Amino acid sequence: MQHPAPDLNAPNALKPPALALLTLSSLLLTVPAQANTFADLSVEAGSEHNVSRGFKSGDIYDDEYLHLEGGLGKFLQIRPGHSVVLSISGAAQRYFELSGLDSDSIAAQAAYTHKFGLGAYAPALTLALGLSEERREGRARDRQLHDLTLGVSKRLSPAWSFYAAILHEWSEGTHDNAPASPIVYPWSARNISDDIYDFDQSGFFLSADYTFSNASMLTASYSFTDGYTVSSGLVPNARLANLSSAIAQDPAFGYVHGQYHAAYQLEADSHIYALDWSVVLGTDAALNFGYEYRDIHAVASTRYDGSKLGVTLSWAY
Amino acid sequence: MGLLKWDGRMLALPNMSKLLATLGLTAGLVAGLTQGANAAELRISIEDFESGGALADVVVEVLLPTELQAVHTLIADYSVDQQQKEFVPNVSVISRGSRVNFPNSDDILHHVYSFSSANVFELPLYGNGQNIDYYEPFEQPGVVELGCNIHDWMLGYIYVAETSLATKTDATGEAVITGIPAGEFQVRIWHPRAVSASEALPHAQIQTLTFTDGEPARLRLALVLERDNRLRRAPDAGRTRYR
Repeated sequence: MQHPAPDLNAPNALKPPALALLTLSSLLLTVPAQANTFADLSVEAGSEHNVSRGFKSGDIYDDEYLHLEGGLGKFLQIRPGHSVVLSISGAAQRYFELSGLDSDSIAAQAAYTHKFGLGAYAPALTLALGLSEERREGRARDRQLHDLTLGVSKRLSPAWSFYAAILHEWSEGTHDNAPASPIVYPWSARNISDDIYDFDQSGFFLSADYTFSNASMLTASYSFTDGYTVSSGLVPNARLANLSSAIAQDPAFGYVHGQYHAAYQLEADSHIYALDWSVVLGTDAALNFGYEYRDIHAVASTRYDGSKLGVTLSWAY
Repeated sequence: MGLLKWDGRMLALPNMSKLLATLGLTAGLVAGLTQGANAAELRISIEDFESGGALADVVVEVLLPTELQAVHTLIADYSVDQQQKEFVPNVSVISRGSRVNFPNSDDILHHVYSFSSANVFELPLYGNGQNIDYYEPFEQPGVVELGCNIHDWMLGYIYVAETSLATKTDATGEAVITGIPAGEFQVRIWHPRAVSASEALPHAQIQTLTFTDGEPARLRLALVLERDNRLRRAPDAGRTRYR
């Protein structure tokens, strides 16, 4: 009797990173490595411009937020130069005005690192597998994320350190086929998908750290993603409707000025530039001031930008 | 007997004094010299040139000629522990021929290594209670920089002196060396962050002092320090991970 091949695009199917994560975790249980437990906690307060990823001025919302994140993990030094980190984490984000974007998430990650030699200046290669579940008010934005990252880090001096990575991400909406909308959308006739968070995307990440003599650290980073963006806007928006690869009623913004919001999935190249200044508070804590600018180029010359300014207090044990 | 005076406060002169200091010419010393034989004492007081505060962990060694070294050798066993992911003590002073063990008092693994030409060695992954009977011999004078291959910020130093006439300053910036033979000898001053033009031993300066067994010689010095080479230990926001 033949069984059909598993459908990796089916909702809740385990993607390769999740399978690898489970396999690796199982294998590690048999490795006689000494595990060190660690924990970290961070709380961030910030302000975000264009949190709605809107293209038209009327669709652009700004808001302030609080973000709390905590994690627990095991560090396993398997052999000299070979280590694995297994970790789980949970996060919650709350907006002051746009409570429809409030989110909770849990995540698990396995990262294998090979250090090429001894010492702080030896380059290191890290392969990380991640699995996370994100839930937001209004279930249209609920999703699972699987990600695979291959990164290399190299310290050049006590002050300078560099990191580069490539990554692939699988996003899967977990509440597709939402209940029928009370209104008729202009795209209904196109029979377009409402799976706004179903997509794969790839990209790369570059960062450079400079540590000052007082141990404060400035980090500049750039990330590029060839994939998708989900933009929210009032309907009808014929242009976005025609360009979108998926559209769903967006419960995050509710009913505004007699109109509903829709969330549009668009193919896009994302450029994210970030600057972080981190001030040391003892050996186990730091205060970080961060700024991030997003420049999103979607299909048919559709473009938007956004930014975020935040302060983070992080603690690690 | 002559009395050489060089008031350390002179170093407080802006710009020019700082330039001299950078060139390794910063010694402000007072050497008290009297008659005697074979029992001289050197009293040391060292401060940070920038802050004026006491400077700990400055190594001072009286460099004896080869023919006098044999009678001033103290071979012993020492210990550099690993506590709270740091080397304790951070700076150790030992005589050549001595041995050092590296216990691990943490409940995690450490991986001690040294690239320094004075002693290249490695103690791969070991935990609490392991390697307590292993003593690494240090036969060659010089500075051995210690690291941990898991915790990159961990940095420690073992100063291997030619003889037992070496010590390091305490938290008050003070130290004393006794039992110095009478005569004129070079004195080496070393600190892991001291700015110096020395090619023979980085971060070191040399002064010449005359010792007698009566009044102790005194060495007052203000060292210019370069940036702290210790890597940052605090977490990076957004990139929390095992540290």
